[in-house]
Amino acid sequence: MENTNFIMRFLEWLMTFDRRALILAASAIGAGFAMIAGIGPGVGQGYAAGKGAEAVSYNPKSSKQATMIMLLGAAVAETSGILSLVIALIMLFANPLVNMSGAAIVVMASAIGAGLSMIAGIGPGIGQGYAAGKGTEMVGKRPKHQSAIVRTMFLGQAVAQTTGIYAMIIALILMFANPLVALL
Amino acid sequence: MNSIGETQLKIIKGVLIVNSILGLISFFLVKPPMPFLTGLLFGTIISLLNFRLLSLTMKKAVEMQPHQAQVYATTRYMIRYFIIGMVLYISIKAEYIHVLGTVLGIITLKFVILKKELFNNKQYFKNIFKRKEAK
Repeated sequence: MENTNFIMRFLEWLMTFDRRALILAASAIGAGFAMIAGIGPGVGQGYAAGKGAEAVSYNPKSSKQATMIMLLGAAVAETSGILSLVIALIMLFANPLVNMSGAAIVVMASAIGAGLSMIAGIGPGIGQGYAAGKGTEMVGKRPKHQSAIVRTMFLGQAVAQTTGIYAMIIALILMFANPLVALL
Repeated sequence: MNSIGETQLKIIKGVLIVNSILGLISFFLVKPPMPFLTGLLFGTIISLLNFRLLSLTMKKAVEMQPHQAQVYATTRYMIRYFIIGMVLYISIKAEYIHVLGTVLGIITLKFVILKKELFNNKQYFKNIFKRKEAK
């Protein structure tokens, strides 16, 4: 009887390809997935800039303070975007998975998984941008409390960054010290 | 707190100091040291220029309408993202530059900001852990 299970047929079709080609194709998908994280800082910085403009329109005297806080907050919010870019570029130009031994499908799935894990970078990007935006807004409203607002904002941003760093650690483990290959 | 220019100068000085120390340490630890040091220098220069570009963007964005500022800041972010992408691509491709050095050079700026603005007051953290009954 002909195998009508679509997934099995798809996997069998995949296995007709060369091992190296499969891993490279999966790396291309992984790199694409990793770059999705670039959305996060974009949205976050946009939000921060919007709030900065709002704060300055409410209280033009606080323009310098608001700009400075937005600048520092936005600079920190960029981090997860850069990390995802690093992972995507490593996958494209210095791919360690191509020469990895073990079942092709595990290595291939690891490449896609490493890319998928970097999508987590959207979270810190948006969250840190949101913190920067709110910090800027509040400095516009209450410039006297600037130092307390800034410190709290950065504390929140530093905590928000942790998930992005976890995601990068998982991506790096999947690429450079893959524990799954040894389990077969 | 200080003006925008002073804050920028403070951050730039901090980055230069931290990266000099990193360079000195890597000179003894990384073999061969030159590609790593070149990468670190490359990353530092790009991160400082990017920071300057970000400050110019933000200065302009605060004078705009909020929705305009959002679009402007996001498009400028994409340009900076592209620049960093090019820099990392060159570092990976060029044999005389170690990509880890470049990444380190780019990332240290964020840690310097956190150090200068967050961990600059011990009392703030002491107050977090202080027991309420002690008051």
